Formats: sequence, structure tokens, C-alpha cells
Amino acid sequence: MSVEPTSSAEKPSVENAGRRSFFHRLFQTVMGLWGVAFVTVVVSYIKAPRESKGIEETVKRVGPASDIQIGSAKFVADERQPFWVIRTSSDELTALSATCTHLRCILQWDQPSGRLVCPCHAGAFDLNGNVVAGPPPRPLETFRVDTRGGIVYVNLS
Amino acid sequence: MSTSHKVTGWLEERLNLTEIFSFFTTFGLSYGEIDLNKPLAEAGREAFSRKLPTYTRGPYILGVLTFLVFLFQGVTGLLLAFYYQPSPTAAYESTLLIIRDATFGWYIYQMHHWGSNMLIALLAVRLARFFLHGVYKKPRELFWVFGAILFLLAAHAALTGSLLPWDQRSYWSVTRGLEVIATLPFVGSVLSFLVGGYDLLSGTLLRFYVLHVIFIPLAMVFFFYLHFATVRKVGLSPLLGEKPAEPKPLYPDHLFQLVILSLILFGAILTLGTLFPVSFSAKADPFSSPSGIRPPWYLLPAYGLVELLPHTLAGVVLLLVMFGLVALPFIERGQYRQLKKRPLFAIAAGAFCVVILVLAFIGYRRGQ
Repeated sequence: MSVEPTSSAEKPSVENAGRRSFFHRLFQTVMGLWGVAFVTVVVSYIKAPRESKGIEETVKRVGPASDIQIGSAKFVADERQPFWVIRTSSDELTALSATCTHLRCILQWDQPSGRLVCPCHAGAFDLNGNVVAGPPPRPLETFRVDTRGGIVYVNLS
Repeated sequence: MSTSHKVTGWLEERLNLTEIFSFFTTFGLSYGEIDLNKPLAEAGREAFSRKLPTYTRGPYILGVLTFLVFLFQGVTGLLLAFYYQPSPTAAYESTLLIIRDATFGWYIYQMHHWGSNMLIALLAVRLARFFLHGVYKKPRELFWVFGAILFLLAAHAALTGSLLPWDQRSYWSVTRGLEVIATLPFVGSVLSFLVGGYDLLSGTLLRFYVLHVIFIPLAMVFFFYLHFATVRKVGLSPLLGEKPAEPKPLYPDHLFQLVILSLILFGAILTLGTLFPVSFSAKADPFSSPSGIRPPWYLLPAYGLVELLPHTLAGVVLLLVMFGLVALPFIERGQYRQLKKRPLFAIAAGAFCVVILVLAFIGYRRGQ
């Protein structure tokens, strides 16, 4: 709120008025700079720090490959990117994002139909991640799966 | 008609802006009546041009600075609460996140730390000046009472806050501090009831957190408000042997001086936080006591006393000193304000300061 300095003690002569407005400007500039610095510090502090993307962050260890039978699936509750690992044949695993592309509900594995279905709005995806039913606008994200020494790893990068 | 006038005009038809504004001004910025029937611009101009005694000059700045530091602690504390998690398993990691990962996090952490020390120091210096200038003589006894209570509250805020980082130093330093509080008869039991025992168990951290971020700050706001209320009623204490300074309008004189004061103050806090950052050690381990840990500095005299005397006696003495501190205006009831005209209390206060320093030294040595 701006309030005019109407009742300053001294009589405003021309000289004083010039000096006063100069200091007024100076004051406003300094305060503005402080304000900018303050807002910068606060905003950059509140902005959540980026997670360090080390190899252990992006490659998830899912578990022994033998645990996942043909036609069954394993859910991995990763905080950033929950996903399903599904065995499509004896030597093939596929990893699909578990968040529906519609409104980010968590998909369920429906073994009889071999689809990932969304409990919220009945969206459904096939094993390639394509939308086969319901409102989802985009196909699911798929991730690379590697099996090393009988252990399944999924690369989320 | 300017945009701001249009906006306030639009709002004034829907909200009692002047009443909201009067709430802020009566809290501290300006005192005196505000005509609630006038539109905001007019009421504001009146309030801002009203001539007030200069509380932003001379020794009065101690009070202004105290309140500014308190607000500063509120802001930095709020920012720290964005990341901090008050549980023994997450406290250390979340503090580490603030210091290491969040941009400017270490800065905010350091400023909050130094701000708390500054608050206690300012309140202590303010009490000393109240004594030297005899400020608490009738009718300003409550200045001292509220000032002393605020000092004790600030010390408790600092103690509860210093546990929160949950590193070795803070954990064991607070443990030393709690040894002092445990000796206090009655008060110690009440406090230990509040924090759930004398030991630092998992529940203690959460209770310290609640006391630190909600209970004590609210109590401090309450006593700040009471202090402002009594200042508005009885006025600032005139300086000894000087004519009261000529009242100046709130804007621009007072506000400019306030801004300059706060810039200097926060410059000092920033400098201290940069040059003398508080250390952050390993995670707290209840099963390994490090050596050379002392209680926080404001508890050193009390710690020295507890180390010297039997615990019960030390507790009674501490309690008497605390009550005596708050009730000083009712103990010293003479009418004179000049130090020369009240030699007994001048000598007693001098002796008290010497004893405090000696006890602090003893506490410092014993802590090693």
C-alpha cells in the first residue's frame, strides 16, 4: 500500500523535495533488491531437491526370475515409478508402468484376460502397453528388463 | 483513479478492510484509535501519519529488534518445517537433506540457529538495560515481568529446538541441559511430564517438536501482545535526564528506521551464520556418549550450580532465582530510577552478574 508522506515535519522546499524523492527512489530500489533476493532464496529452497540419479536409483532389482511364472506378474512398489513385471513366455519378461495414463490410478494385473486394468475408470492395456479399452489417452510406458544370474533388473531411465 | 484504488474500492464494498488493518496496527505498528468507519486509504493515511514516540531509536531498539528476530525465527522455522520430520528414524536424515541437498538449506538452518542465540542474547541485554535505567518502576512493572517471561520462553524454545537436528552434539547437549531441568522441584516435574520423562526416548523428540513449533511460539506471541498492550497503555519509559524525543510520524520516519534496523540485524545474522556455522556431527547414538559436550550456553550458569551444590538444593536455588527474576519489580519497590539512588540493588545486581559468570565458567569447565 502506498501512503503519501503528507505530514512530514519540515516545509518542502524545492531542494528538499528533490533530495527526498531521490532517497525515496534509492530506498525503494534497495528494498526491491532485498525482496528479489529473499524471494529467490525462499523459492529455490522450497523447490524439492532433485533426486540424485545414480545407477542404483534407475536400475531396480526385482528379484529371482524363477519367482515369476508364465502368465503371472509381479508388482514393484517403487516410490517414483511403480511398475509390473510380467512373464509373457518362458524366456521373455516385460516391464510396464503401473500408473494409468488417464488419472494415475494404480493398474491391476488381470491374469485371465492377460491385461492390465484400471480399477478407477475401467481402462485396459495389453502387454505392449497399448490402450485396449476405456478412457486412457496414451499407451503405457515400457521399461527394459535384464536377467543376470537369475535375478531380474528393470531399467527405469 | 489508480488501479490500487479501484482494487481497494472493490474490496471495501465486500470486506471491512479498515477493521482488518486496525487488527494489524493495534498489534504493534501503530497505537491509537483507528476510525473503522473511514475507508482504508483514509484510515491508513491517518494511522501512518500519526506522531508516535520514537521507539526505533536509542535503547528502545532492543525491544523492536527482539520482535523482529522473533518474526525472523518464525519465517526461517516455517521454511525448515518444509523438510524436517520429527521422528528419531527420520530427523537426522531430513536435517541432512536440508543442509546438504536443498538449495540455500544450510543458510536457512544456520540463520535459524544464530537467530535463536540472538533472541536470547537480546532479551537478556534488554533485561539488563531495564534494570540499569529502572524501567520497571511504577507504572511499568509489567515491562519487566513480560520481558523476563519472554526470556525464559526463548531459552526453552532454543533448548527444545536444539534437540531437533538429532545429531550427536545436539542429543548429548540437550541431555546435559535436561539434567539441570530435572533438579527443579515441581517445575521440573511439570516439564518432564510435558516431554514424557527425563530420558530422550523416541516420543520425546515429537513432544519437543510440538513444544518448539506450536506451544512456545504461541505463548511468546501472547506475551509480545501483552507487552505491546501495556506499552500502549502507559507509554515508553522516558530516558533518564533527557527530554523525551519529539514524536515522529510512523511513515516515513519510523518505518524507514525499522527497515534500516532490520537490514543491519539480518546482516549480522547472515554474517554469523556464514563465518561461524554450527557444526553438524554424526547421527545421535544413545549408546555412545561423546566427550566434551556441554549444555547450551544459556544453561551453563545453571549447570555450574547443579555441579557445585547437592541437586535438591541447586534446584530450589534455581527456582527461587527464576521466580525472583520475574518478580523483581515487586521486590525492588523504591521510587528512584537512577542507579546511584538505589545502591543496595545496584550492588546486589553486580554480585548476581559476577556469580552468574563464575557459575558459567564452572559449568564450562565441568562440561569437558
